[in-house]
Amino acid sequence: MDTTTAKVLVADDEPHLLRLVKFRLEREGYEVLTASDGEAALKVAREEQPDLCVLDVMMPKRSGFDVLRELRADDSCATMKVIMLTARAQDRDVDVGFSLGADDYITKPFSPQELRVRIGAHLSKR
Amino acid sequence: MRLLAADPRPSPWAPTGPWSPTRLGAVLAPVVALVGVLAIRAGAGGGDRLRYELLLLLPILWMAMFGTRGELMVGLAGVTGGLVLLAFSSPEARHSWGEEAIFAVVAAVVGLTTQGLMRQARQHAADVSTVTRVIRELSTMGAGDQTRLELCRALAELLGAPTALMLEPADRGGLRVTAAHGAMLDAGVEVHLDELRAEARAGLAECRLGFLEESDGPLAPSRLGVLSAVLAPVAQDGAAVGALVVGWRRPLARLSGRQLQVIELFTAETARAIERSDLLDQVRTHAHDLEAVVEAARRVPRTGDAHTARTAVCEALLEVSGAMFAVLMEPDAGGCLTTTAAVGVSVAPSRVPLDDEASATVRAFHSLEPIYVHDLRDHPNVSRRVVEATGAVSALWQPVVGDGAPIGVLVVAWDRLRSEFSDRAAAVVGLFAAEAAVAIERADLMARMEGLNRMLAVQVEALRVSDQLKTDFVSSVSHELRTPLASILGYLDVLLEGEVGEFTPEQEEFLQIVDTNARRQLTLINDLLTLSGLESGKTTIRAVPVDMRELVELYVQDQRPALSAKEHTLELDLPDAKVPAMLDPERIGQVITNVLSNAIKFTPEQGEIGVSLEATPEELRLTVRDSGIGIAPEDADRLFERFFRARNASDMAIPGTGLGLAICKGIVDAHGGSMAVQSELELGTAVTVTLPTTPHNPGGDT
Repeated sequence: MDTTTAKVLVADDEPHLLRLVKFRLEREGYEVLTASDGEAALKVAREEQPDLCVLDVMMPKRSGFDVLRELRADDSCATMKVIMLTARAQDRDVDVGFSLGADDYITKPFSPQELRVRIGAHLSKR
Repeated sequence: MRLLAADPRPSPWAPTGPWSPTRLGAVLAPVVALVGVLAIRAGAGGGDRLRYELLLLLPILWMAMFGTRGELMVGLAGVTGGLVLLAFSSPEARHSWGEEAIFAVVAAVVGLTTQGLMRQARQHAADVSTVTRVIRELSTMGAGDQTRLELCRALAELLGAPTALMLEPADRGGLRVTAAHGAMLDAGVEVHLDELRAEARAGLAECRLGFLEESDGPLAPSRLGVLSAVLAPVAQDGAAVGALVVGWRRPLARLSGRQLQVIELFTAETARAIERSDLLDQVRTHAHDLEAVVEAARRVPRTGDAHTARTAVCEALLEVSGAMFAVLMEPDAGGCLTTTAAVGVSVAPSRVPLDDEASATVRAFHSLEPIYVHDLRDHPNVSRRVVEATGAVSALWQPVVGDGAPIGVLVVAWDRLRSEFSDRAAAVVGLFAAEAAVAIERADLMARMEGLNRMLAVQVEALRVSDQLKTDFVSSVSHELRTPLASILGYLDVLLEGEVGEFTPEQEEFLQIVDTNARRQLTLINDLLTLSGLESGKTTIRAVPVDMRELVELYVQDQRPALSAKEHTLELDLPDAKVPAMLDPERIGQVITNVLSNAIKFTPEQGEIGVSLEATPEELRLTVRDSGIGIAPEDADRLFERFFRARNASDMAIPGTGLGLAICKGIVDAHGGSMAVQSELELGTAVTVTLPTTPHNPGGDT
């Protein structure tokens, strides 16, 4: 599959950061969907079936971990690629993320290259 | 035990061998007579003759003193024969037959009398020896009643009498039979002095021996089952402390000298023997009681609260003293003695003011002396209600003394008159009080210690919570700080990459400055977060097998640009072979980077930097040397403290947060390693990191 036409969901409660990631990924040629809280992210993920989700951990309503857990329990979303994105860079968070089935983990602030490379890697792996 | 088994021993002068001195005497007597005859025949004078005759008496005396009656007879026969020979042998004999006969009779009388006297003396010596031995053996036996009975038996046997009794003063005056051998009376029978004849009473009072008669009440011979009996007072220090009674089944008008002597010996020794035996019994009883007390006190639990221990003390006391109830009273803060434990009685806790001198409890408390009340029933200071409610008859207020000062009073009560079970119970309570003091003080100490422990646990928990709050605070603050920074840096990236248009060189330069400072702030936040994680144990060390040589090379390589920027020379001294180790490569990389960048930072341009790695199978040692500004000795100790910056570093305005080495130390500590710094101002610094090849705590807090 051509990675440049892939659909990516970005969920973050920080509008500026959301805008930045959207900007970056659209420049890469992805179709970008956004959500500003956990519930919205879950809804969009189920309805739009994106190829990959970039989830912030600390979000209102449902945390990124909650969303991840729901997605993994949902047959239609179980194999969806998920990259956790958070400022909480402590090791415990990383452990929780991986144990819930996250594919990758990026800490804020992230370099644009890092984001691009990691998303690209996971999409081409499908 | 048969104490009189041995007969009076034979005199050492009368051995029984074939050539004993007495046998020799029997043989010698005729020989001496013959020699005398020969001498007289040879013409000795009349004076010499008398001398020979007297010489004949010597073997007689010898045999009379040491020989048996038979041997004496042989000797006498020999001498008589000699005298007969003498009477025949000398023509110039001055002695007639009659004279020789008188001489022979004199010899016989002298011999027989001597032998009688000797036998009596020997008998007496044997009696003394027997009595002394019996008394000694008995008085070391202890066990009073048995000793008394054995004394009676020994006395009866020595006197050839079937009956012997011992009488001692009874509690309520009069005499009590304490031992009876072969009598119709049993031990325990009491004899009132009124029942005895005045003469017998007087004999007792004056310590005189006398015969008992039929009008002597329970001590009448017929009631003892004998025909005649004597009452022999036992004296000590001139006063009668009891009496011995000996009875015979035949009528006796008077006692023989030997009998008198034996009785005298016995009465003289009996008092001492009984006293010693009773003393021994007391010592044994005391030892036994002490043992019981210590054993009971030992069972008082060492743990638990103060009240439980006190109740256990009272329970143990009941057990050892046979009392019906025990109450512990202790001073309270209000100047009163208060019930702190009670066992065996259900009276309401009482309080007695410490200045109430009418109270036995208070008096015992202040005087440190026990107070006994023999009969509570007519005691003025005891409430009749309490006595009736509890059924207590006698009581003891025993002060409990710890370290010379009273700590309380044990009130112990019995449902019997105390005299009925002796002072022993009171002595036991006294013994027990010392153990009770120890138990109570120990219980209080334990209770205080447990209180302190609980307080400490509360404080520790509060500290733990506060530490958790601090950690959580640092964590959330760092999140809050990083989120806006993420936006700032993200948009700066977009701008600087020219994605949204070009800038003038000046605009771009300023944006670069913003970017540099935003990144510095990010580093600071990351450092704080790392440090907080290390300190709270939240940061995990992910130990994996790595080649330390490769790791060092990798991170040194990262620093090449910085090295060449300051034109430092680098001397890299690594082992030829791989250095396998179990460690977290990312964290250790952080340490290498930090130490090496410090060396670069604190060394003026064109300096010398050395990195060396040494390894043993157990540990590896990484040393980073520089020719930099060094560290003042007074700063060296504080180097690993958070935010600490060496004075010269601050003075020279070398940038830094003072967190780097604290983080390094946290990482190295988490690996079970250590860090050391050697430095001299102006000359340079060497930082050594020592790590075990297999960390003690490889998983961190996972």
